[in-house]
Amino acid sequence: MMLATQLALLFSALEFALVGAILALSTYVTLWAGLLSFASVSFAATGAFTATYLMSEAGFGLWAALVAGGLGGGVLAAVAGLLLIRLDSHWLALATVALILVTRVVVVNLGDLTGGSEGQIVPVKVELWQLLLVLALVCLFLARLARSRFGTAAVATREDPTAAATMGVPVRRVQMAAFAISGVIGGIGGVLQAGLLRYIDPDSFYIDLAVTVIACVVLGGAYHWFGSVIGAIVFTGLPVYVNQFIGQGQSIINGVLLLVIMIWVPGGLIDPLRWRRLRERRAAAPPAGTGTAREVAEVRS
Amino acid sequence: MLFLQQLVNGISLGAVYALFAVGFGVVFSTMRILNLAQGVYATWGALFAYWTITEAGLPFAVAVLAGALAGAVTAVAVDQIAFQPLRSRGGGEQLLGTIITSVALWISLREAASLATGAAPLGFPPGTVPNDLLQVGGVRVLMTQILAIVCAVAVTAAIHLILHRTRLGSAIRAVGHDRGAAMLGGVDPRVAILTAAALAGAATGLAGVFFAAGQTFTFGLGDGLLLHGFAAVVIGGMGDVRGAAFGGFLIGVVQVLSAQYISASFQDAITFGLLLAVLVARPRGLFRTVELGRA
Amino acid sequence: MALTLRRRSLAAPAAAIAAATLASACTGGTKEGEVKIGFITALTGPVAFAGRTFANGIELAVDQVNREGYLGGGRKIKLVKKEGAEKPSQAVDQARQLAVDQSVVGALCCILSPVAGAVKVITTDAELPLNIYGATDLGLQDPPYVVRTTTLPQVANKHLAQAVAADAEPASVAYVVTQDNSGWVSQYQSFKEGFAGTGVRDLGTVNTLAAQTDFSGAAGELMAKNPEAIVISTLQQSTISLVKALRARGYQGLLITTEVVGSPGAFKAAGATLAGVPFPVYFFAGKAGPAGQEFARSYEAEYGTDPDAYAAQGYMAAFMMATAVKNAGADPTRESVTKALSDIERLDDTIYGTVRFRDGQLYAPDSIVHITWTKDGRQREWAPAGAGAA
Repeated sequence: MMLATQLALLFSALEFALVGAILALSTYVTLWAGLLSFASVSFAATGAFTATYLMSEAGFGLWAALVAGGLGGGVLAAVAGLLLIRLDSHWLALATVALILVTRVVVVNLGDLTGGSEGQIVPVKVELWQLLLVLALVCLFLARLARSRFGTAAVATREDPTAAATMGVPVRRVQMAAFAISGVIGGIGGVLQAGLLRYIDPDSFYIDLAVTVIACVVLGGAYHWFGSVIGAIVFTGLPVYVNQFIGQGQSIINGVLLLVIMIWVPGGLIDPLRWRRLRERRAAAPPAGTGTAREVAEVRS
Repeated sequence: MLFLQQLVNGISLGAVYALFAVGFGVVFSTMRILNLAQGVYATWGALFAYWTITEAGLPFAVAVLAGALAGAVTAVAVDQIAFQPLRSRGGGEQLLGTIITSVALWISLREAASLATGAAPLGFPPGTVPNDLLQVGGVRVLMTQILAIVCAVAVTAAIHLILHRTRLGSAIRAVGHDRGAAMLGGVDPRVAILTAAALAGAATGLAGVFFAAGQTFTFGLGDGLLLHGFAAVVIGGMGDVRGAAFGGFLIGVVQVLSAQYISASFQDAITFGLLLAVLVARPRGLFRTVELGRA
Repeated sequence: MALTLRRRSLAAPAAAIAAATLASACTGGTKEGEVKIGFITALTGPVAFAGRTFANGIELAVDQVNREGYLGGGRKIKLVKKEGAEKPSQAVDQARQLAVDQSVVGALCCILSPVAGAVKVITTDAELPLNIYGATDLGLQDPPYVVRTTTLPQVANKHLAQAVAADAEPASVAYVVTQDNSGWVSQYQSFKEGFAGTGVRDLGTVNTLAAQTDFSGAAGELMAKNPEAIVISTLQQSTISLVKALRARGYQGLLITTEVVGSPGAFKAAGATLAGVPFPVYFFAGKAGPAGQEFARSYEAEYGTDPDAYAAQGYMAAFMMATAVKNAGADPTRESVTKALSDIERLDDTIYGTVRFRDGQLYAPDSIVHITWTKDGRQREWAPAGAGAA
């Protein structure tokens, strides 16, 4: 009985972490192509409100809603991308913050479609297995994408856009594609978030979510898609669960956690670059056996 | 008459945004940091000013100075805790790294302010703020509104002069332009950076005090200021504090006038839509001055 | 190689989860004779200040119920507190945690209407009876699973508007409302209903936003309408700021507002500018019956201030839940508490006096009192200026 309750609590925390992971992956894709964007939250809002409207008014089920939400996020991303990706890094980041603010105002004022400031109930519920399935599909997609030409081009763009361009990488098109993919994933994440919350209002998709999402990506490691998943579990899942033991000051703990990670583990928890470096050193090092202790020492240093 | 009245209200609100934007611009042009923790400088500035009056019983003028000082101290602390470790490590990804560490300090210091105030609404007690009402040809202006405007103009001018007419100012600008070259030229980048952080913090702390003076505020004071301050900075351009200040005044006026004559519910849409439009049309701000730090 | 790293990366969170599971497994058991009631608190977040007062009232009621053996048979209520920060996502998650713990037979929740709207979906799915203690939007109650002891400010506002029209007789009135918050819009409409047909001329409405912090423009717009009275139906912080902004600009007319300014904290932030501004409450110690007097005394003894309307609502919510548990019999379950809660039609001798429940919503129109602050921070019954003004 007690164990069952504990498991249920754990699953509840896990569900939020899984949705957080999908939203984090949406942001990861833009970072992949060297764009710092907070816009995933706007894509998520578009997806969530589109899907909720269709679920309520047209009787869409979850899967149809996910398609619609993904499309909605993708369309917004395409439009926003056309306008914004030519901005320099800092300005793009600012512009996407502005996009979130404008999105909220639009949601508040489209009361007939979005429920306005009152918000609205989401008629369809999301189950754990559905979250797992969607996340697995997104991860599979990204893993394949990483090995595709897009993946190589994105990495080159991120490392040095000028060099990439001289090597014949269509930098703008890669970034545009990344933005659109980010929009689709963000839209899907928004639908799932809505299904999990069962109720959405203009503040469900706002600055604090944007900050959490970007924190997940960086915490987990911005150089591999798996980092976003781990980051989301640590940064959205864990506090939700630990919350029952710590009331006040929880945000301070989140802040300190972020700071510590950024300063001491700047590549994030999942950092392929460091693995590679370690692998190279190990190849150069004498017999295995002593290797493990050394690696740990290296990681800690 | 109503138009004039609202114009004055807009300008005085804009003065607060201008102070904030000037602080933001100084940090951005010297350190290339998008500092999301800047809003809490204002919160802590306002809180210390409030405590100076309510706990220590000192006059408003002292409270204003206390607010500026608290803002400066917070800014220097944030710089040393959040940005210095990343700077000393050097390397790429500064933008992302500093955004994240500034977020870390933002949420921590905000929560600390919430705990320190019990999340209660606070207000400067009546009579402690120079809130005399002046009537100029039917337009009602409060003394604090005038003080905010004067303060914003003076601080902008002072920071502009410091940056352009003093040795330290040249050092700050040099660091913004190219830290390595600045060091070769005999500038101590640490002093320059700390000075820039303190100036930015003081200006932001003042913004917090004047924002809080006429109304009720809570630990969340800095958040609203942060968003509108962003808009001001982007519209005015970050390269020159005068542009940032102008952006602040403009946002204030646009906000009040659009609420009066267009729609209160769309005032934010207009403000942030303007921000997006300026970004798309003129990515470096309305006044494309010579950018300090752009190589 | 990679594995070492990955294991290390996962180790910390895994250990934390394990420790947390263990810790809660040790504290989470139900003791004999203990009835668990979930309580989603709002001690942090945007309305933490009000959340504190609601929580004070709830804890006071539970202490009292347990001390007096109100449930009978030596049974006691144990509050299972979860911090929801009055944000929909966090509160929903906490509601889910309460929902999965089958030993929790009832829940208390919510100050903000969107949060209440979100939480009630979760609790209703789990057939967990919910009593809303603070959210004011119309129609939030939904028996049998959702009842509400929040005293409806709409009814009280209409009542106050009618009294103002009859006693103070302003020739004209203007309104200011938090336009992007449905709770405040509905309170604003109730004021309008109260003034409708009284001959007080309506000079129009000024909209403000929940996130707005500067009210110089709104004050300018209101004063340009030149009304004899201004009704302020906005968030607490906005209300105080508006009162300050209007008075600082020399507005002399009558200001009328809602129960949000009733807490001692509100007066501390606003100061004497709040003096003479009428607002309606359901609980005023100065006019309360014996139970209310007793509540005011024990609240003062425990927390050092007078209880405000929020403390009273918290107290009432916990008291009603305790009554339902008592009526549910020896071994209360979610099902029996749901039935007992929705069966309550009337309670006598509460802190509000006699209250009635219609469709899961508390009504106590006879308890409405129009009060105001005096310059030195005391509350007294409101009378139009001149007739006994301080």
